[in-house]
Amino acid sequence: MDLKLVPWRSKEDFLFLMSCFYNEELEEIPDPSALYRGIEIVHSWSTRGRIPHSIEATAQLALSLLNNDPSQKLSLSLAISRFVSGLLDPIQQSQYAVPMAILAKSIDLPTSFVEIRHAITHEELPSLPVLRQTANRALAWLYDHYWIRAANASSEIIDDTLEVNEMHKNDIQKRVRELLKKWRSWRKVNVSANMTQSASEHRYVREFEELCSEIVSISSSRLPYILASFVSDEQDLNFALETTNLEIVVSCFLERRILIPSKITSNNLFPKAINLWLPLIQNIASKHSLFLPALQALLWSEINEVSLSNQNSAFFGNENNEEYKERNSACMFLTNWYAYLMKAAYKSEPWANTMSITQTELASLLEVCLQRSDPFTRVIIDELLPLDKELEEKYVPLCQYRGDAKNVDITMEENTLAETTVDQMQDDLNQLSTRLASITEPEESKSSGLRAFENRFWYKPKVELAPIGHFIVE
Amino acid sequence: MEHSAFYQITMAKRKRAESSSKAPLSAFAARQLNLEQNTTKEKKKRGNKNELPNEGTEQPLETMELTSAPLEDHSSSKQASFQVLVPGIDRSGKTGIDQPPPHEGGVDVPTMPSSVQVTLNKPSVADESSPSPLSASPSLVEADAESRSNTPSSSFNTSLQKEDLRYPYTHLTETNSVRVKDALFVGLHSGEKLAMVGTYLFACARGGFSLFGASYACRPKNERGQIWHSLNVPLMYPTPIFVSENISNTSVTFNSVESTDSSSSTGHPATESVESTSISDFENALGVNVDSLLPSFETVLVFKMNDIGISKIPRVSPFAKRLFNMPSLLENASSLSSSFEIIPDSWKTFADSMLSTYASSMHTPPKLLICGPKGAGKSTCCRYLTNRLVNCTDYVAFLDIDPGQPEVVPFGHISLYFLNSPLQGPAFCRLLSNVRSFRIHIGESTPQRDPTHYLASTFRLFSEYQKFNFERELEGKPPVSLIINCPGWMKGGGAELLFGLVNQISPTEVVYLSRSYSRSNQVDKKSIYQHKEGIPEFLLQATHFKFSQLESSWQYLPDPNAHRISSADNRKLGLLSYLHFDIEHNVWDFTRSLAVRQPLATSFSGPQHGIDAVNIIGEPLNLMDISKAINGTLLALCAYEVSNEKEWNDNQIVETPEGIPVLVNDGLPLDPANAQCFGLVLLRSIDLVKKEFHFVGPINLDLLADAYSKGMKIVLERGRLELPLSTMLDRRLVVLPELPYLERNFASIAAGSQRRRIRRNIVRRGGLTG
Repeated sequence: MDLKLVPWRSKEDFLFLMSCFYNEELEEIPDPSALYRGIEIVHSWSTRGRIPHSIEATAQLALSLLNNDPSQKLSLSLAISRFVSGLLDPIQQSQYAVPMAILAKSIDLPTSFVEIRHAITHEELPSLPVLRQTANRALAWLYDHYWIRAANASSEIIDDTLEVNEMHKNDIQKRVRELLKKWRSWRKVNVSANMTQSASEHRYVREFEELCSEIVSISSSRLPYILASFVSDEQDLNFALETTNLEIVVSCFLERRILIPSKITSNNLFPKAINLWLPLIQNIASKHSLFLPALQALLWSEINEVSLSNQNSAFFGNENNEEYKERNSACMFLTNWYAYLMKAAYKSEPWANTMSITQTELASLLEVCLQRSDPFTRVIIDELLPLDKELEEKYVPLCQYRGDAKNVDITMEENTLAETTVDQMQDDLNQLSTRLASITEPEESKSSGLRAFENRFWYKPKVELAPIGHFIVE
Repeated sequence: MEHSAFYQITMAKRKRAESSSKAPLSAFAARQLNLEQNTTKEKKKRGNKNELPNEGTEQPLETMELTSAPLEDHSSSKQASFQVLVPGIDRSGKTGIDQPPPHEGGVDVPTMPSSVQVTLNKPSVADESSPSPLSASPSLVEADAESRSNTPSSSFNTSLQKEDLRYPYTHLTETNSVRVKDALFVGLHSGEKLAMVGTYLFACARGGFSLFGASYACRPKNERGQIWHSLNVPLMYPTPIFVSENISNTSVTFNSVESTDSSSSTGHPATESVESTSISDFENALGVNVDSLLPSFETVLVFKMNDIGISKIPRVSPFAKRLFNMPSLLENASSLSSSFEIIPDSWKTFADSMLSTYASSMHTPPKLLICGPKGAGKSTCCRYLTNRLVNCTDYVAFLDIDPGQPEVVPFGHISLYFLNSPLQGPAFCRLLSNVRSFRIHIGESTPQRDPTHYLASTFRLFSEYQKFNFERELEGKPPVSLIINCPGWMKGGGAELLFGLVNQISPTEVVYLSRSYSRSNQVDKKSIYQHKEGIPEFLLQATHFKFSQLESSWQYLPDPNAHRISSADNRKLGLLSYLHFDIEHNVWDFTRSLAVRQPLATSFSGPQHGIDAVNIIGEPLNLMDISKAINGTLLALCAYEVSNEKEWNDNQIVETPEGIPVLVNDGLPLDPANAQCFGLVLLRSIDLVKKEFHFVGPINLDLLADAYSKGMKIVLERGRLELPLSTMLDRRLVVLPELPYLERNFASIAAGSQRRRIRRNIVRRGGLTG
């Protein structure tokens, strides 16, 4: 699939222009005002860049037909001559010039047009009625061979892109689920099989290799709507997630009965899950350098979402909801996976070397977790904090300020609260508000980047993803 | 452990790079050779200096063992200093230097003299035809000779031997290079040449060298100023060559008139955004004494990798993939590059004579017009002459009137720059944001569409040059010289245009560059030659200027056609580079598409409007169509002087239904006598509610502020410049069913849906007519 630049904004605009030049029945010439409007539009389009020849020719032919003064003969001649040359020049592909009559046949253009063009350029000018008639025939030819086809072609293609994307996603999901299912049932039978043996030794290792390779090749192939001209950047995770099947594949892993067991009875299931899935994950990771980072990123976004929604729902107290429980236990499982991968990566286990985590990255993750109050981020803190002595020292004291730890400490805070006087509180409040004022002011002017000079005003609006050539209407 | 994994990856990368380049001496082989040298060193440390000749036969196994130890040492310092990978450099040797100097006692510095001895043992090599005179062991000399005979460029090497242009250029070896933290020091003997590709900073730590005509000398240690120069050298373009030279010798070409001035100007006041430092600051940062490094070399260069984003340009332009396809962003070019910047002898002679005339009369500076057919290398020649001139004056005026391939991107303009630093590297990866310049928007890549406006624009620029000289005269400074780069339109109307130019500007010298020049027919076969190439008659009958013909540098390339990037691609690169430049941080950002870049907005209506009018070149349009015609296009941001405010408001401005002010100008461009251009912007979106334009692209708001304060009007001018498809796209947007101004390609279905295309190379067979 590929795109091209066109001078019209939308298909609608294209169809509107078509309606200016042609009546629906094609029987009578449209109203002159409509024709003039069409010519104006073509003028405006031509300032954007070169426009398709057929559109330009239509406008020129229409204009010269409207022209009623003595120069009409000349203008018609020029329009016809340009119409023919413009059609035939691009298909003049060979090194030696092919006769125009032959070229004309190849695009179904009556050779009489070529003859008239020859007469116009090299012989006596044809008479006005002949030129008029030729121009009208040319317009009719353009309708059949350009306008109607272009109008239909574009509408057909546009309708089904979304559908195609959705279908593609379903296909991929189906196939990946199948493969994962196959692996699961097979692995359950051969729980202790060693997957690191050389491929030639065992049939099952070969099969396993094939399965992994298929998952890898699926995840690295491109989404159907991504243009071939996009250059791949092997290192960029976001690029891979957005242009290849990677995200679809990885999200299949996060489903139930894959990384999450179908019935979660307790966390004791987790070692079993590791035994079940780790060989597969390790093998894929060794073949696709972005698989682990993508898995890690999607796991976190999942956990983050549940964690945030927990924070909100805590106020409503719908914790007895069955669905809610279900979701939380699934998320707890994902959290275990996440912590497991993070640990492996931070300890630089050889199989996790595609996912590197620096101390600062770990610290920023922990900082986010410290501000939450749900059980998942708690697990992350408990699991990951011991990894780094330096961070542990720094963050352990902070752990007590987490939302879920507050209940314990609140008594202590009350004690200190009682000792402060109202005056002190007022002072603190004043101090805080002055500090707040001093912080917000410069930040605001900086973020919006206002520049005003001589009463003129430029600023930096909010950055949003918007197509080039967008009209903001609300 | 970690380190060795990293090491393996880099080795693998390096191997990949080698398999693509045709250099027969693989970096692995070079490494082996260097390892051997290293063992030499190790042995020498043990005091056994007489074993030298046998070194080459050492078993590789043993050398591997020897290096493994320092490599492991090195892993401990991984965090502290990052690695710059350079082929031919053995990292094992650097571990000693990486350590802080207080302990330098007996580790590495004492080994330096011994390596000096090695080089001194072979002093004659440098002056013979052997390309790598610095080789310490005989085997390396052999390897180099071998690599030379097999390199792709060996064909041109033979043809150029008379000219003493050797190839390949200096290889980096243990003896001539040293790395300290992130800085790479390379020592050169006088006359030696070095070529590096990548994006890096370079500085002169000792002696002096020249780079495509420009001379760089080492500044006194404590003098502050810009010592680092930024250079971006992609592959596929001729690679610039550092030539070590004795600065005192070359500076003889210009005499003492400006000796005080020239010394300060060789330091090149900051044009690139490199903070002003001095060598001693740099020494403190690295913890070394530059004088103690590579003591046997007259010239020492320092390189630092400097990733400013340009190497990511393939992200927006797939064909650029090969440009920065190199193992790291600082690499020796001898095995990677296929062509090098070659300065033909005739250029040197011409520049020498021009400079000596200039030196004798500083008050009549040369006004040089360079013309010639397309692809003759006019820009390259202009760049060389500019660099030569910049060596000896504080400013050189560069009148760039080739709108198709300007020296400062993007295209579609003609401009006058006052350069105080040399022009190095291809235009699209050059940082020149702070150069004082004056631009006029042409809106086309050729002067053909509107020669009248084009001529008027060049005269405006020329008058700016005269104004600049007049201002200097008032300050008691000598006038600056002028270099004019002409477009390659030499036939028909082009010759008429050139005639007009020459008459108006009255250059002191006119240079004609030809594609098919060769020394044999330079003098006697002028008539035949002239017939073939069509040098305009009036140039040959020159009376009031000196006319010279120079050869093109293209013919010195191994295969002049193979490695050239078409001018259309060049324009595209320039435009992409321009639009993706982040003017606030002085880096390129190709990772985000233009659709998600931070826009700048201003209203086009109301009391605080930043845009006064829109002018569309072409023909008057229906006001209803204007917003759709300009949205998502490239526009020039112009300042326009208005003599009569009332007349402007009442008669020259009409409003579209959306409230966009449009200049009633009959489809003409702004009058160049009153207009100047601040650069191109992409009109990303139009806010119909707040009546605002949102732009992306590098907008210098200071220029706008200045124009507002002078009461000038800010006009957006729409020429005919087209955007490449990739600028319109973002991968997140292609999911949408319909995008503005984009359509799925269905060209094959409808007749005549292509844009008009002209083929000029069709051959007519006898007897057949169209």
